[in-house]
Amino acid sequence: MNEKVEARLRAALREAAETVDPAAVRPLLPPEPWVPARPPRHRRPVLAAAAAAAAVSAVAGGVLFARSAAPPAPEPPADESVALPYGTPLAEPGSGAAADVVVFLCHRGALAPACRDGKRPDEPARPATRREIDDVYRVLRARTEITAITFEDQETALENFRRRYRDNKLLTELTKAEDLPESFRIALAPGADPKPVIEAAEALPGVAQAVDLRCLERAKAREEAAEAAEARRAGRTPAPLDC
Amino acid sequence: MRVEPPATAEEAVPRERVDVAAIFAAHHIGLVRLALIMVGDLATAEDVVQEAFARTHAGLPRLRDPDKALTYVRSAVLNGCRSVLRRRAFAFRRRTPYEPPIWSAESAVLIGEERREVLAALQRLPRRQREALVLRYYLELSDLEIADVMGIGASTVRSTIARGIAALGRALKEEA
Repeated sequence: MNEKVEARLRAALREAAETVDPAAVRPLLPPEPWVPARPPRHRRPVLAAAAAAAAVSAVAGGVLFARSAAPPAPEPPADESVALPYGTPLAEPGSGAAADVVVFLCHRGALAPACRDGKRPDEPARPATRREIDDVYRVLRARTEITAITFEDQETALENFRRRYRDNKLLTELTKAEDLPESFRIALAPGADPKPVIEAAEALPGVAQAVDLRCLERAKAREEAAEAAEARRAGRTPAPLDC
Repeated sequence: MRVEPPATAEEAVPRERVDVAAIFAAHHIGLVRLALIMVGDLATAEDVVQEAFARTHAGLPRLRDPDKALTYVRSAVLNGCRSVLRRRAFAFRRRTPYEPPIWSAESAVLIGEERREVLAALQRLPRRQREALVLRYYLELSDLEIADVMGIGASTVRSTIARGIAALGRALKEEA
């Protein structure tokens, strides 16, 4: 083999690599836990499709990731959520009841098109106003299939996030309260269909996305199939979910 | 979720979760450098690594063999670089502002001419030869490690490197 060529190649590669100043390299950002990697282009008229896409990517980015928490706890315990100023706690502390649907509100880092008013991705989103949040609460409150609503503020969201990803030090250290959205966590009556609730919530201004947690759990169960891992490795997208 | 209990205590160890964030934190700069050599500019290299980081978050916890985690991560970065280069082949699709690659004359302040000549010749090699040469002469990986990262056989790695070096020598007019 040509040793001179090898030596020149080695030296050139080293010199190219050394142009990278470690101090100047952008730090890695923790992936957003549920926001679609590529927000759907369309707005309101195709909410169902957008929600399906969001659910799929939420599985990829968020719920799968939740398995790194030692006891698989897709939902923070109810006693950790702030019951004030909105709603009643989902359940008595420790009873194990969890939310069925989560309505995420717009925050500055939101990528959902509903929060962005057509802004470019590098601009901050418009956070939900107090009045919008009140309206969301009023609409949810009026729905008969909802049995309990809990409001989770950014501080509580951060606490729950830290607990869920407690063994990922980099992620928990990099994530700040303002990176996480406020949300309403909703329990539904047994057998109630979450779809109308999700559609009603997503139609309101200030709502980034409503997510069917039961659906995500089903999706997670499906993820167990080894094919899903293969599909991801091969870069293919799993088939869309039914919810 | 993988719920089946490990059959033996020894088996429990390799089934432990792989801390992706830790791997990326430990190898971030190295991965950016690898990507830079492949794609030519720092901004794109950073993007490639960030994207690989985000994407492997989902896949790595189920990796069977944690010792292969770094191999897996390197493959992910290499794949990201391939995608970038493939997209660039269609110049009209490029939306990001042009940044001169490190082997271009515009980067003369950073890298001497002799080095740039080598890097430019490297870029003109076929994709597989280029990748194998970078993994060997930059990361100093063994045939087997390169085979793992690239997903090809070890003997293919050897012949690819031999052909790559020969082609590079011809391009640089070195005596073979």
